[in-house]
Amino acid sequence: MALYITLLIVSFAIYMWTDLRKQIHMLQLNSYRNERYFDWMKDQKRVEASYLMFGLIISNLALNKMLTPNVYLLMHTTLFLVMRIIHKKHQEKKPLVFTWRVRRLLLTFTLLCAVMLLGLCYLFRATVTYDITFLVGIVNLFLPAMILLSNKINQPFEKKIALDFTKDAMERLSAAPELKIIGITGSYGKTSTKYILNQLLSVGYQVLMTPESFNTPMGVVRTIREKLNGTHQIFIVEMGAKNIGDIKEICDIVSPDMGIISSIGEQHLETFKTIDNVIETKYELAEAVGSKKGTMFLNYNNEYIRRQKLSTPVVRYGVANGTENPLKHYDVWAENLSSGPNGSTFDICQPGGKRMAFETRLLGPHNVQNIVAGTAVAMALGISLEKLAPAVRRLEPVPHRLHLLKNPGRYQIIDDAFNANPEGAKAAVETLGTFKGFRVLVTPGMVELGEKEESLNREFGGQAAKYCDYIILVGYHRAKPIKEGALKAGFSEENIYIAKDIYDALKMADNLANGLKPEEGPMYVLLENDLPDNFLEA
Amino acid sequence: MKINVGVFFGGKSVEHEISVISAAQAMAAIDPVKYQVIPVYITKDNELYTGDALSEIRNFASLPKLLEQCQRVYLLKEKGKTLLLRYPSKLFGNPVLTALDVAFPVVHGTNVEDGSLQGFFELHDLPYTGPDVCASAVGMDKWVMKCVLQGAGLPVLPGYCFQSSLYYVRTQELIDKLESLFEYPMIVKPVNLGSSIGISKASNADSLKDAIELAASFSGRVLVEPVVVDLKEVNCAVLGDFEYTQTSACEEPVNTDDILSYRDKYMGGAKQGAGQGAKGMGGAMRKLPADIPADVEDQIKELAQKAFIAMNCSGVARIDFLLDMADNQIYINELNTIPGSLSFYLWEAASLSFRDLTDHMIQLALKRDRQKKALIWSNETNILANFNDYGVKGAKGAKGERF
Repeated sequence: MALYITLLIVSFAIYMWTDLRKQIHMLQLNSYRNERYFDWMKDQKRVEASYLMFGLIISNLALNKMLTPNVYLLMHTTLFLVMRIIHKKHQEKKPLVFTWRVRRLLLTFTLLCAVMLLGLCYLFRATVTYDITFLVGIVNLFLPAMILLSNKINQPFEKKIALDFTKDAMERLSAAPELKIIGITGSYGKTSTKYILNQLLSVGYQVLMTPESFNTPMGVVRTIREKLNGTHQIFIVEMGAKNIGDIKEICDIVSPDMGIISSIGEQHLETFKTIDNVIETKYELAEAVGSKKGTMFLNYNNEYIRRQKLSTPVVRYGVANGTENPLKHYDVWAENLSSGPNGSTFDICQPGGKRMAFETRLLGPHNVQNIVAGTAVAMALGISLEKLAPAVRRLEPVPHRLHLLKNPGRYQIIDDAFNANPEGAKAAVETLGTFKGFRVLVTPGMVELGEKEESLNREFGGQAAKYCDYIILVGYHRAKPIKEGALKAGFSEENIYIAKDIYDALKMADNLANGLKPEEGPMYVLLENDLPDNFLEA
Repeated sequence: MKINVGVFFGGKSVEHEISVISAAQAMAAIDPVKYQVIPVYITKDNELYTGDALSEIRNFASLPKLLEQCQRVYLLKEKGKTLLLRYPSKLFGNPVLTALDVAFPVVHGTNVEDGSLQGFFELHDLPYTGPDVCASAVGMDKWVMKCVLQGAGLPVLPGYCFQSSLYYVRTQELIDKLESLFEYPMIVKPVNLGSSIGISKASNADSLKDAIELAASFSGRVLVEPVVVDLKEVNCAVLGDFEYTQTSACEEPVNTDDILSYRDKYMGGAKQGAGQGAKGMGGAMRKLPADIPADVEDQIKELAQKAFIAMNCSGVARIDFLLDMADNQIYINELNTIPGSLSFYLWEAASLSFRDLTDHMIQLALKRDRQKKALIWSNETNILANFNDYGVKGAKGAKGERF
């Protein structure tokens, strides 16, 4: 009997841990925001309902002495193991990190479970062996809800901790009054611009930048507390936003001396709702910088940015398109852009006929815009163009952003996997079009575009049709409008394949490469837009 | 927020005591407003200690007493920072004493100036002033250094280098070889020591054997060179790195003996006596500026910079020249990659204060670290890391692939 009870407990623990882990992981991926976690959760089926049914049947049989206690226990053990198998092994691209927050969450959850179980036991006056399994089944059914509740309970503590950390970070910043703080924001291009700026400014200064995906207030606070030291002369802060006030929140912590707005576009429209809200939020940086009489560096290739007028010092940068007079629109600009599979070449120009040629391994006109932004800031901080040229030459593509991977197999991959926005996606396929060979697009479509999502994806399909030879779409739902858009633009249906998931898509790409005739190649594959973990389609 | 500078000195070297003096001078000179100086003393047993008492030379009169006042530590790289931790750790509390932002080695001689200490810093990702591993190693070996300078087209005296054991096995053969190569007098040096230790001159075969035996007692390899008879020695220091150099004033060190001895360098020569020892190289007798015509001075400064760059030095190095007054030839004798007292007296003569000198050195260290970081960047998409059956790994492929 003791053996069977042990088996039961072990199998339960194994099953419970798999489910619990997945739930916490999803919560973490959704930034502990209950609304976002709930959105994901409500679409999930809970097999626990079936367990309850079977469990009830078994309990009934046992109560009626039709099963011995040992067999009863064994059957429950089997049920748990079956459920464990049903909860498929969950492919994680960004794995669960056991932070202190997760541990606090687990503690609260355990206490909550204990309370709930005891309460149910009292309520139903359960006897130990038969009914407790039934009660456990109920707890499991509501596991996601309990995680949500635990998160809610912990919120005030988490808030206090966050506040203390923020205060500490601000104190460290005030202990470094010589530190120049540069904020970067934009609907897209901010991470690329940040990397480029870091490389260029490092020619003459000790630079600290917020690392990849640390563009939230807590991310910035953490960077300051863990990485900032006395040697740093410049601190580059990437500022991300999904709602009005997000940028102001970061600016209140760091007080930037200079700022770059790399672009304004239709990204995160699900939370911003309108483009005007996007503009207002991005310009919170300009307000903060302006209050210190600092200079803003603005991308004047962007229509929305052109329309805003600022009273504080501004440096306008961009890529001249040949039809307008650059002197009227830019203070620093690039001309004579040409690109190919090895990178791009261009001239950087300033008023008064100043001009200098640059080469880079980065692809696409957007990257050139970002380089111009970087050089503009570097020049403002006293680094000459001559010193910048070798640094520009050495620039490495940012991982996952129009990144031409260096070690090709059967085909060469251009990895543009991070959160595609309509402008970026268009530029990516246009860049793909500059390559000579067999051009394949692999994409699941764009997300977080609010109500315009379908039409924007359809538009993307049309653009893809112009520049690609083959399109592989990942996941049926979001990909549908892309297919429609492509077909409408005259793309042939036999050159479109809809894959189950990314692995299936890459398998197809490999098949294509195998079947390629030598005169058709070489083959280039553009990976456009990542697959957020919580949106995998069946 | 101050920059934490760990000044490392001492070590298992014959120049251990010299380095204590140089370090004390450097620590007093570093700007206390910008930098937080943390002394780290390396005992002759390669143990690390820190403590305020280490910055006063007089405390070194009794080593055991000094170490009692200090804290034994070790270096650890953790979460992107280089930390100094207490050893042994206390039962409760944080073992971390402080984080170091940059190391400032003021060490002389084998086991420390030869790249060992520099390599130690590299392994802990700690930026450091002065020459890197390669320049340090080359600078410590007189023969290799001679080959590098010669290869760079710079003027050096000819030399012959051999294993000490060869002398004992084939004594006469070796002496004959040396006599066939060079005229007497010759100078015999252990290949990898500094401060003139183990160096002596030989004017005939017997004294040559004595000289070799002396040198061989210090090193496994011995270097023999011809002596410049009508000699004037001139030293010049260089500050900078591979893309920028500046030179100091030139000095003429003064001998009391045949050659510039340890006593001359650090004990102020026979004339000055006790009390001079505490001044390190600063207390040696010298003619500053050197008594040479302007064009010779320019030549020397140019050669110094070229030697500095050929050896890929960084920070401050002192280049010692031999001038043959008989035919007006200038030869590079050797390069000191971490010179005694950091040659501050040469820089002060050129209007660069010791404080500014140390400041430059630290900034150069940070610059080199930045440049090193700019070379490293590699990342691959996570998707492809999982995808190993489909030839994405290129030529190395998966099993069963045909090309």
